[in-house]
Amino acid sequence: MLCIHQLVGQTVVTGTVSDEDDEPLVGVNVLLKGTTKGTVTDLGGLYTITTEGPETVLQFSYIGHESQEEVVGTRGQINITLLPDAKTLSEITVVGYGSQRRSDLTGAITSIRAEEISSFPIARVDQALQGKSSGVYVLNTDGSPGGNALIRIRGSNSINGGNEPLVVIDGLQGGNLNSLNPNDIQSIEILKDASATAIYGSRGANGVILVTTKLGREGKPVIDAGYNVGFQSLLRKLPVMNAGEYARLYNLIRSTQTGDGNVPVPVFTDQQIAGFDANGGTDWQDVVYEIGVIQNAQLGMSGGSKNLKYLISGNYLNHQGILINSGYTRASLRANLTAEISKAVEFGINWNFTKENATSPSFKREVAFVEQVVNIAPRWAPTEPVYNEDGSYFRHRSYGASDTWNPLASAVEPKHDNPLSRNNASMYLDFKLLDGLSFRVVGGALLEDAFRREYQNQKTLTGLQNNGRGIVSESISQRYQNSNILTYDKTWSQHHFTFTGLFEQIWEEYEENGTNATNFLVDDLGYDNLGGATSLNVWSVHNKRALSSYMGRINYVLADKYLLTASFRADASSVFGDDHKWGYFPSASVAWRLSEESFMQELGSFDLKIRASWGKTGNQGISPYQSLARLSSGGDLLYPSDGGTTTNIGFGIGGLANPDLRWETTTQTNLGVDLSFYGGRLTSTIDIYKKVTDDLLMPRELPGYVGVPSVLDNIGSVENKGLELTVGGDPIIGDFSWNTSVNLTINRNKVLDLGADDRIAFNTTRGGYNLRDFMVLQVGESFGTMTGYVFEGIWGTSEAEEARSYGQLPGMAKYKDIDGDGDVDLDDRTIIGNGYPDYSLGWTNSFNYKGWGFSFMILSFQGVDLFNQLRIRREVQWEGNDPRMLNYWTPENQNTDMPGYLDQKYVQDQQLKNKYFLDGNESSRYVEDASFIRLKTVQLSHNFNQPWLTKSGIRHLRVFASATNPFTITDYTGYDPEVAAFPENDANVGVDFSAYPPSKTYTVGVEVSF
Amino acid sequence: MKKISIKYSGRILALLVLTQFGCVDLEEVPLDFPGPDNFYNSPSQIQSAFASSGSRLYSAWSVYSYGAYNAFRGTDQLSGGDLVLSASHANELWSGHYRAIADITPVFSALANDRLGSSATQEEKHVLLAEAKFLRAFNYFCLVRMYGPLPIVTEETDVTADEIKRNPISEVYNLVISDLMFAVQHLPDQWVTRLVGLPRARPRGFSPKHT
Repeated sequence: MLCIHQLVGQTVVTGTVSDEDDEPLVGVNVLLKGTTKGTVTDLGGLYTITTEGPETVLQFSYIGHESQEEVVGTRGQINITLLPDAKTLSEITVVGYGSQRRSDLTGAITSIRAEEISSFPIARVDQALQGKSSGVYVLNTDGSPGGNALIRIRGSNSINGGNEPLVVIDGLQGGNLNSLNPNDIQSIEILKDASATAIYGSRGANGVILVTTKLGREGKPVIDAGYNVGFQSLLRKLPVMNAGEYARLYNLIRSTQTGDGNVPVPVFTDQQIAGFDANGGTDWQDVVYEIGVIQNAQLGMSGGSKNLKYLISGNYLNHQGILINSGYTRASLRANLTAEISKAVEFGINWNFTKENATSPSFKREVAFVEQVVNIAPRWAPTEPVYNEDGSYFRHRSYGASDTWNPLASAVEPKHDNPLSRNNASMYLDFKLLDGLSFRVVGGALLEDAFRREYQNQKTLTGLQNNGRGIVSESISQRYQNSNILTYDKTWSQHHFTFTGLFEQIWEEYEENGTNATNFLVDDLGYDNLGGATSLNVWSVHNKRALSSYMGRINYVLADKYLLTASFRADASSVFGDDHKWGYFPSASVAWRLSEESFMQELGSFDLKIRASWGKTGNQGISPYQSLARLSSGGDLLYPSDGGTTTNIGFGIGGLANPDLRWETTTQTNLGVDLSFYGGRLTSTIDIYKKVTDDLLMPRELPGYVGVPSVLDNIGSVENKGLELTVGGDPIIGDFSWNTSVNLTINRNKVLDLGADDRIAFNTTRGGYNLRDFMVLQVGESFGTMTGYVFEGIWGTSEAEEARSYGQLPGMAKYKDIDGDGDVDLDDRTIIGNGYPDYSLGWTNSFNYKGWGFSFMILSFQGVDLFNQLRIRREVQWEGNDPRMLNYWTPENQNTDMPGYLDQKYVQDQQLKNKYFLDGNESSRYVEDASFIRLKTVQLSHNFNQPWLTKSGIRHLRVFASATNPFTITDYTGYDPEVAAFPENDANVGVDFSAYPPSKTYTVGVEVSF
Repeated sequence: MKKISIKYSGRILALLVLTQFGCVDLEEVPLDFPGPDNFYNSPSQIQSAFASSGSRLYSAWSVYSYGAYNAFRGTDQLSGGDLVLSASHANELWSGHYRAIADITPVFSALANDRLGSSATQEEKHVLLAEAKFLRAFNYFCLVRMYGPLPIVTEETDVTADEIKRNPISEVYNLVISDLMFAVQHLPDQWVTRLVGLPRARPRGFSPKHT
């Protein structure tokens, strides 16, 4: 064992150092006070040290914990428990281009610690943010493996400029949250108000998410390993009639088709109906949905010496989705290193490589809905079998959703392969120049190589129509960043002053080329044999953009009580017009730590800080070259256009120049209060804010004779106002502890100006649902506003006369004649709902008892509507299969919302004069309250603490079982209330149309550290 | 903290110099599409403008276009028309023809500035100008017969200026006739090899009839 040389008077002292959970602390410094002699605790928290005598004082110190001193006396064994540093206010928070003590912050910033992210098994970082911070709205718009959630901080500001917050990973802007291995994250800071985001002028208008990845700690290397596996299932199946009910109903409906002398023939024979009653028919959702499996394996090593700290981390994620033939894999490797080259120079490099592959079809809008499985599976009739007798896929005969393809074929037959490699590297050199003056040079690169390969064979509709269709494309995306930061930090007597200066440049380039091939001679080889296709359409894309910025910021703290931050940033972006490339973004904020004033000291020990901030931030999220005139070519400009054998490529006017195109600017004011009681056991933060975004980039309509329908211009203005409240703390501490935190977000969005129009309307589908543009941006209303007709139920027999005045009969749908002019037409449309919540709430709890942990999170959105677009086809009388249709109106059953099936000859004989001129299906009939309260995550875990573990070198062992989305309370009847189908346009949030549904997941896992 | 030393200042200076070299270029030069300033430099580029112009008309008038059908619905041109028309009635054909004109307009200034240079003979340039004039005349002819007084947009018109007024019908016909006269003189009787083209007979068929 240890061989220690002793001199006279010296003694050997030994012992263990643990933390307040009785876990041994590795790497604790044990110093002989007043000397430079010392040692470090080992893997078991054990130390051995030679003292100078009984008066020797041992100093124990460890980062994040309060130091302790002990006089040796006559003891040979001294065991120590170090408590964590209770002052959360001296916690360091990462801000843009630097860090500050929490107590010195003047802006609205939410911090999320590593444990909150990694203690729960998640595959995607964006989902981990849900419910963790007030002011942040995370919507699971896409539950598919490898999909992306919609993240909005303090509302949507822009219509065309993009509303995605800026993601900064280790100082590099523009990264992708979902490319990160969640286990690599040290902390996430969410910057919300102008004083925090103005230092990221470009795209700072949408809020900033700062991610810092982990680094090793000084001491022996620590090896982390973990594995978890989860099983997923569809949260809820949509109800569908069974085959017998369907057959009987359709025979009934068919029997009413007596118009124009038609003699109806039943759709199904009695024999067929008996067969359906016996075998139940096909449950199409069971056919295409299955149990999905997610596996996640993690292995990492970190450690360091005095001058070098490192972390290596590898992760493999394999996610097979709940929909057949949808999946995603990701392998990632990270190496983070910092080295002190000399006393004044520090070097760091963070390099992350990921290789991903998504094998699911895209479920976004561009996929024709006739083959989009999520859409068609709940629409197919239960009376239709999956296969014909000869084994081929069944196709519609004389009834059913005729324009759609067999759901199983649409799910299984297409082949998708989308390998993507990402290389993200960021390096820095930090020079300590003079006393307090340091200079850092950062260089970074984000490189992405993506392939997209897709083949529809002849068993799919697209493949059948085109003799096989293959799309193969490649793209290379490069982004380079160079930041040069000068920092001067000086403290003298009561003053603490920091100056930060920055010069930054960012350069991006994107190249893509691809082939769309049809008419394949050999269907089996698909896209691997493009040479066997006779029709090819090729394309290529190439564009660049650049950004150049200067920034200066001052932080001043007086007597730890009076705080001031002021910054100014100038950014130039290449995408704007020649004279308007530069945008200028100032900001200022002040804070007062009221609790430090002498007159407040008598009230007891607590912390109170009041903050106010104002600033401007910008948005340049449009594509390049929009300020220049453009000629376009392409399929619809060929001549002759009827696809004849001779085609000439046409180049026509694609867009006009607009040299005045400039930055969108958001001006934000924020007032906040931070409170902390009982040494941090109870904390609260309240913020109210107002943001106005001006110079919104929007298409301005041009007169017809110009020859171009519109030009992108800076018109329009949007406002967001809101309140954020967070309350949290540790109500119970000790052997049994309880930590809880609630956050509440209220945001009110309003369109202030749309240029010459007071209304712009959008549609969600091109056809098949008979919807006119019904999602609107209207001056005075918020994003997500739905307009349409008001559905009032079904005309009753007692209202027969009034019904006739509108050309309707009892049993038909009744709509409101809002302007009272005797008909229902375009003037009778009004606002029928809004897709954004009135407020959202997240409540997190964790309980700990001697190594056992139990935690859960509840998420709620209230006051949100969804337009359930799928119902339009699921309730229609020639193909619908929703059981609601069985509750149809009859004179005996009048209390229902489903129209009756009236005999057509009888209707014709009534000689009605129709006054219902509805131009589409956009009515309040399909608008539903999608408010929900959901148990989002729940977890039970156990930390093993047995002494035999430490003997075998294991310093940490944890097992857990958890569930995601196990329980929901909602009135919404679609797949999931948390869905919005068209994330590319914030005005369309609120429409549920076939987004890949989120799932319920049950996971078990283990984590071990050596 | 150490005071600055010669060793370090040298390194810092080197780094500062390096960072300035990376200065990004903020001027945009499009890489994957042409602009009107760097197009129309060869006969085939000019002909692609004609192809696009023709294609616009196909979109506006073809069978599946709502533009053509809606324009005559409700008027006395289709049976059952009740002459109840909205303010934006038939605007798809208006914009369709003006889009076709907008595609041809830059060709005139390109030819006037002799962008083709030596890539075409004088006669070939006249033929291209004649084709452009024919197409322009054809579009204005269709427009004036449907809508009457029109804003006349030529290569000299500034479309971004304030709203252009509608010129009287006679002025429109003057433009149509003068364009067609030029076309008649310079277009060949028959096209030898090219598949897209406008034989002289066509412009003759148009002029001078107008009602």
